[in-house]
Amino acid sequence: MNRQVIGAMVRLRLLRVVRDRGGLVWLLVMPMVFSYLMGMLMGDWSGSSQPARRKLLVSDLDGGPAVSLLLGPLRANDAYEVAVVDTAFTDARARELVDARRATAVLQVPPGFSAALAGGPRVDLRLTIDGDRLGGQAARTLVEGELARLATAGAAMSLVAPPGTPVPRDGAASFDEGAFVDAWESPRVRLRAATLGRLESEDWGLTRSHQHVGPSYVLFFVLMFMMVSAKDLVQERRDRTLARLVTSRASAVDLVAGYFLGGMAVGLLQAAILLVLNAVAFKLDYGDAPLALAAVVVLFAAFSSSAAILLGTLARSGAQADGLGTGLTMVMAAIGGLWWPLEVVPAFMQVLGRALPTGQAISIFHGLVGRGWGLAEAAPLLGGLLLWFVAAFTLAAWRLRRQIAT
Amino acid sequence: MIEVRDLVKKYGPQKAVDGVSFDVARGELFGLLGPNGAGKTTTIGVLSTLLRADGGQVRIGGHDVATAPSAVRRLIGVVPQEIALYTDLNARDNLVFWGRLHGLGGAALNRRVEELLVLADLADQARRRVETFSGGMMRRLNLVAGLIHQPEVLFLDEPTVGIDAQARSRILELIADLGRQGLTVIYTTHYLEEAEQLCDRIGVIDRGRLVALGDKESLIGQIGDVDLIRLAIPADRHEAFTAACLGWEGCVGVGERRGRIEVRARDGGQLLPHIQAWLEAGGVPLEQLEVERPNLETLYLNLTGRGLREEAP
Repeated sequence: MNRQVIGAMVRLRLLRVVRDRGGLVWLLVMPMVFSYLMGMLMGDWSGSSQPARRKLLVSDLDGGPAVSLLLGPLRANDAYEVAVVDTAFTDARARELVDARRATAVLQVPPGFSAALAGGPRVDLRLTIDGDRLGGQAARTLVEGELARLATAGAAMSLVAPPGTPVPRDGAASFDEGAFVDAWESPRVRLRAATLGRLESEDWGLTRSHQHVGPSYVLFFVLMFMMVSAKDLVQERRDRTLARLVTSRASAVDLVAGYFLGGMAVGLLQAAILLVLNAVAFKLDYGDAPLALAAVVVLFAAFSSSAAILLGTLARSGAQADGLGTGLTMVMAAIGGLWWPLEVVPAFMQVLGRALPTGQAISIFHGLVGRGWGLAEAAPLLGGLLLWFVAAFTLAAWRLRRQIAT
Repeated sequence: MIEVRDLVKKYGPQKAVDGVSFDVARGELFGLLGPNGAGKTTTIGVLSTLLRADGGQVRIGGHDVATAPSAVRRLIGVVPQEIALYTDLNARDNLVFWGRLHGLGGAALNRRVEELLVLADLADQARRRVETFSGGMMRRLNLVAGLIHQPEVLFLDEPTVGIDAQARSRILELIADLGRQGLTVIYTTHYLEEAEQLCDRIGVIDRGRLVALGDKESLIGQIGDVDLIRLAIPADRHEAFTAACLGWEGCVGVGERRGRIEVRARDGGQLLPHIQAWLEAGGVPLEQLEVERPNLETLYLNLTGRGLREEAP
């Protein structure tokens, strides 16, 4: 490979982007405008900015004081109205209530809950929510948080109080570290969540709309900018610039590498600037896994660049490349969950969405910004993204080399 | 410098180039003359390593284009018929890019870019976007971009298509200058006046075959001292005129093209009184009459039965 030739092509690509002022608007300004507007539109997912109150229906079969402690934070939250009944619900009935929108979430507390917290037999709580309604997700976050706090405090308290004794909110009189660790690693109570009509979304951890909107518009505009640039390759074919490139010192391998790396350089630059702007403007925290963050950005830019070359070699005209590029980006963005979280679409659409590179990339971002993922947790989805890149690059290189040869 | 032997290039069953052979000496300005679709661009495509030949052999500077394309590419510059430039960039950026692609850099590249901008008469327009250029300016930049690496052979594929007479004249001057500097040039065109004006030797190509080859004088000499008389008369009298004309002394042949009669005569002046008498005798109205001395157009017509600006079938 001739590094000077490849370097010249990469510089050319960046130069063309920089010299195109109209293009710069779409490259950097519009993504931030969209992020801001959509972020505002979707609001704060914790619910504090929502005037309408959400109903949490609690079936309390325990009757112990721990239930009141568990529900404390929700009762204190103006966004929630908590109703407690002492009748049992079947799972089907709970689903029915949520499905009919009579409750945002239904929490089933089984007998023995308070005893379990104090060291008794383990119990499972059941929370039924509607994935379409963001208040359900937020309720779950609040319940999970309080439950974890009570479970550890309860375990520690069990050292000084007999089973069945109500657990004081302020914790134990004395503290045994071993018991605490045991309770932490093997909790006495667990929360089982059921999401209606959706895949189980055990991993959902986003509480602010910008945590979704920011990364999703970075991905969307990187893909969009790249795909519409496919028309440049069509133009180069038609006006014989590609032919002129072929008759230079550049080999076919140099040209493929030059086109690919040029596109990737633009994608990486765009993504890096937008991620920083999002971090500054919307206070987004991308987590503590810089390698995973870098990997998802690099693989997505690599896939986008390859897909654009492939499109540029397939389209017959610039207008066709433009139309197809825009259309494909829209479809991949919508199905892949860039415009709305995959958690709000039906199960089969979630499966389809997570099979797409857009769905894989945004899921990794969700993991990084909302669930504290590291490289290991992101690895399976990164693997999927790598497969997409390899497939797109192989096809693009094959098509481009064929066109160069003829 | 260039040796082409029995070159064949097919597109499917169709032979776009069919057994073409010619040589071009170092420093020669060689014209490939033919109508659109005759096979000129395909021939240039094979010579410039863009297309793979289906038969024959092409050697440039002693290198076979099929087996040593990289060595050939170091020797050649290619100027496509289209404006093969990045029109969203300025003239300087374009030349710098093409220079880098050919391995130039630093001060040598800057010097070469300045030289070419002066050569193309674009030094004061170097920072302007190419898309704002006139057709002639684009053509000049397109041409000098093919010279950035100082090639020994330059392929020019119809470099004056779509520009006005003044711009064409400047391009032709530029090419003539290059020829005087000793560059070997292969120039394709369907404008015979360009070939006549510029080229040391001309190959006439038709339907993929080289039908004539030589310098301008020898080519015209091939058809002898034959004039071309074109006349427009009512279509229903064409047959009668043809029959009469073939009987007149000095008439070499009669044909019909684009609704007009074309008479080839050894001496057009001698045949005109016959024509005038026939028209008067029959009361046939004459709409148009032209007499042309032998030139490449008549040569081409003689060889192919078609005009240079007609598409090849």
